[in-house]
Amino acid sequence: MKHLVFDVNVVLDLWLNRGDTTATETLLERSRSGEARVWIAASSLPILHYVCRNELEKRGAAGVDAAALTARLIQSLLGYASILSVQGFQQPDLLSAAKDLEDAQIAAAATVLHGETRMVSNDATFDALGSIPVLGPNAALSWLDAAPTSSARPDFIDLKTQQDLIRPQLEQGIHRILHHGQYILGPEIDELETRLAEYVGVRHCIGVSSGTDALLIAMMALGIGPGDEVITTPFTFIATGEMIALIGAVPVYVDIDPRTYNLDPTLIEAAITPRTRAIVPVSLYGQCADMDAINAIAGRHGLSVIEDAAQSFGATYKGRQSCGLSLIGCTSFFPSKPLGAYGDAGACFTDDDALAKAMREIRVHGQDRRYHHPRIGINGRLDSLQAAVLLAKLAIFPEEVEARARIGARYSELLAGTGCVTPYIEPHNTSVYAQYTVAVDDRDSVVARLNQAGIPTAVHYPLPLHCQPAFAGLPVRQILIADHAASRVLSLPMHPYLRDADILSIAAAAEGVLGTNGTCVSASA
Amino acid sequence: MMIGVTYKDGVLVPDRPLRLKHRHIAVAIPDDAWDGEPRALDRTQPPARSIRRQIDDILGRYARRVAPAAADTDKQAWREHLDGKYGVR
Repeated sequence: MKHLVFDVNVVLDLWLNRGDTTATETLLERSRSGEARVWIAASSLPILHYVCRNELEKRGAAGVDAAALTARLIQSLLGYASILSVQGFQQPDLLSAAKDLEDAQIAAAATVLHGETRMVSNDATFDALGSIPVLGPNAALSWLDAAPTSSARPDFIDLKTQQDLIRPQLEQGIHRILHHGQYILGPEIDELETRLAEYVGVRHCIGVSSGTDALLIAMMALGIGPGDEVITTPFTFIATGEMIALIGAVPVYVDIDPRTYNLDPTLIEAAITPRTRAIVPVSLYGQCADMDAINAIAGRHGLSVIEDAAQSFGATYKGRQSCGLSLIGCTSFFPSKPLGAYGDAGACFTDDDALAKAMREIRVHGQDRRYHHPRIGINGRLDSLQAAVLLAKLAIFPEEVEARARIGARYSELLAGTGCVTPYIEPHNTSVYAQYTVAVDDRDSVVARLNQAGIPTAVHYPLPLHCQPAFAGLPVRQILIADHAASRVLSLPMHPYLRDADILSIAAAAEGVLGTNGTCVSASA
Repeated sequence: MMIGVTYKDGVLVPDRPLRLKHRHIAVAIPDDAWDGEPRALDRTQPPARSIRRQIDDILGRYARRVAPAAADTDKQAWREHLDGKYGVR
């Protein structure tokens, strides 16, 4: 995203209609439409307020009226622009570096932005500390229309654009916590849990310290332990099987559907024994497993179902939200997840009041009231800072989910000609595309060639859980489809701010590498 | 769903308050509703100047077009104000 930080004189020209302000108006319209972002430094506000009020008084407005009109102009401006914080920690350095401290404060404030940034000023001598180019409004408009000059290499995941977008909300949330000081289980947790439960459509959300702890807490609440078996997929991140093993139960790995890479419900019943207590399907890459089929099997055998929705928060299954599709849903808010914190965080969801109570107690050392512990629990609390970050991100999450779906569809359209296997999304599902993962032959060569072309890639996951050394003691089971998938899957850059130009360049690079049959074309071809 | 909107001064105003999840949505306008040929909005054209109208509406009788100001006009006014406020002379 491109950023424009307005100097005081540009805003005053606009308000006071001094000369031709068409370019400034256009910049603000473009900011409102989301094409760019206009910022006003907080340090500019007193000057704007004073000078505008003064000028309006010269035009005949009484002092009180002039102040009120100026306040309304500022409010109106904030419909198009955002206020950029002036950071206290930057000031000592500015005192020695700045030729003009007022200008330098604006420029220093702008340095926290991640995207390409320009100062917009009518003052050719504006002191931008030599760090940010200064343009007049017309030149800024031309710059906005020019192709981006940075980021030739697309990011695998871009959290910076999102941060720029919600910076004021992030700062407000973090500041609030620094002020009230309730760093653990502060009021942000209640607010977040309420909003997440509403989003998912369940009665209870319990914010916890990570997606991994969410699984652990869910299984502890169900009383799963030594001697029990839990059926799950081997084609997932280690945490799923790891938490089953950590509580002393045995993970029983069942093979996956070759198209969705999710647990194959038709294979589950053969794996059920008298010791089976639960099924933990993973909604991989952002697409839900076939939860109705899995719930039906669980119902017939008296088993509990925990959806491991670490990658699928925001996805839907038959019109219902992931995390609300079984007895308990668990998700992760790891930073790279579709809804991600700035650290570890997760949540459990359920409609069951007793389970919700148990999970709330388990997350805080099994405590039901201060220093009274009716059960064994863990230190699994969500901290307030992470909740504040998640609240800021949740406000734009629906738009990001839409963008992910649009980008996923665009990728699939462009990659259709390459012959690699693009993601298969069941007609009753919407994917949140936590990963955009294709399948290719000769993956190592494809990865090397894509990386040479400047396209970052990742493999989710190269070794299924039943093949991990940590599970070497488990009975050997034949899990051919997961083995095959693990040798072929390849994830491409995916985030909601991926530009169409980036998608086109990635798809073109993939086509050059893959040819038309999904097998790596030799480098000399 | 379909809702009614009133067209006034180039702006479509919903006939009843709306609560939408998103700030920007696409709205389909029937071809026969256009005055002249329907056309895609052209970004290279000057803006509809809604910002200027908004400012003029706020300022009312104090809104007027004036000559461009010198680049240091505002800074000078602000510094004079500070000089007066803190007695610097």
